[in-house]
Amino acid sequence: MQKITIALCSQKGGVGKTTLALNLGLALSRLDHQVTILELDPQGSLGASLLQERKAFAGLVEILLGSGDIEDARVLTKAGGLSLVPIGEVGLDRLGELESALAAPGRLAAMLQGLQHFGTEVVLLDCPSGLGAVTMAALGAATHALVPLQAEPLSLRSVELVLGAIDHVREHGNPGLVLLGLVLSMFDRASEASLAVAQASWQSFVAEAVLETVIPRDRIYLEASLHGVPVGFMAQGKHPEGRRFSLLAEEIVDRLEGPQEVHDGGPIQTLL
Amino acid sequence: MAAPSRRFFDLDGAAKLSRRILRPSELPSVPRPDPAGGPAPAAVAPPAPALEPFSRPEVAYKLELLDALLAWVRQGLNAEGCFALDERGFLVASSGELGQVPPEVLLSAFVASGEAILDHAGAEHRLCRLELELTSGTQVALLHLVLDGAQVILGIVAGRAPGPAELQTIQQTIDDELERFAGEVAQRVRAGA
Repeated sequence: MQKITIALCSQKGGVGKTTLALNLGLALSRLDHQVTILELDPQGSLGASLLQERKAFAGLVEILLGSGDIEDARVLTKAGGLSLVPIGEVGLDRLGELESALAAPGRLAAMLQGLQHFGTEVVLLDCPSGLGAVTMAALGAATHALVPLQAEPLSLRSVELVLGAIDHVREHGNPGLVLLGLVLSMFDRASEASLAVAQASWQSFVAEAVLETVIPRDRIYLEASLHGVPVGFMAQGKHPEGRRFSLLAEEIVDRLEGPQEVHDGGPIQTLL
Repeated sequence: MAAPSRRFFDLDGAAKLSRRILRPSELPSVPRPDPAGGPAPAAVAPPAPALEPFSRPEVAYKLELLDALLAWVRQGLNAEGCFALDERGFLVASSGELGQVPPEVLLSAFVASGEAILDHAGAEHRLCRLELELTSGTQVALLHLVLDGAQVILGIVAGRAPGPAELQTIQQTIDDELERFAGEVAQRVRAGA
């Protein structure tokens, strides 16, 4: 696979970006890809969840502000091909500096280049909510954008904004950026509203725009977060939701490795 | 429940944007100056890739799957031991030696169930909710239908005839549902006593 950088971004908060980054990262690594998750969200949920045993750790902030290097900040996981660069210690006093450093032309791209020395094939950029400087910098450095679409009506209102931001970045410096797809997240099959969002997205977008795999709302995600592990590690690795991300990873790899065929309207395979 | 506001669901603008950004942007060709000194021709942007809205095979596939499963449901209630119901409406599960039954027989075995459900529900109700939930390590899907607030759960293999191992998984899933249902009944009986 070519070197791929996927920005996980959303205007709306709480849509499952970090959950997606962690579990997709694990699933991609299990498909024998070398994956690094770069935490760009100053909230630091990913690092705080996974590195809960550690009191302090170097991260992206330290690298960008000159008191650390990527070799120190990169955390290897037990999952072999998966590594993580946490955001580091971000206080209010450093937030502005972090945003300025990330927004500096070429800075993030240089860091991504540095990750290639470790054999990284896929970088997942876990962006903060919103379309601020950090997210725009991530889109400017990424090859692909993956957009979680929370299966709730209010989230539909923000889809056009984030797609518009991707379009803007393509026109202003990163023409190679493409939409990898929208991922329906936090889908609740017991909710009419959630179902309506899913149906609206299936019917409004072309096939390539919405990934087939749907991430449901399930308490296992909360429990996994509490334990600081991906869902694939829960229930001795046998929880069905772990399989969900394997399917998503396979779908994404298919998209990355080959052109999509648009259905020509011909006969569809029969059910039985 | 009140109908959701349609403005939330107007995705035309987003859909147009998505079609544009699914491919790398191609820069307009650079106009060459006319050697005779005339004005350079205007840059021409390449045509956008042709992608038709509403052509996604998955939608058609899901609708076909839903239709087929509704037909499947329509047959089932005439088959002995196919379904169980709880007091909330339908928590439907099937029993029987599914692993011994060829797919076409399995299909026909469910034909009458939907008729019965529809007869029971009447025209004002609808079977509307669909989710394919893949179980670990298999391509077996569980179909969740909602009938006026109650659930119908059926197992099926997506897109093709089930093999023996998949039928076994369906059977196991259904058995688990029956066991859970039986447990709930026993619990209610104890609570009532």
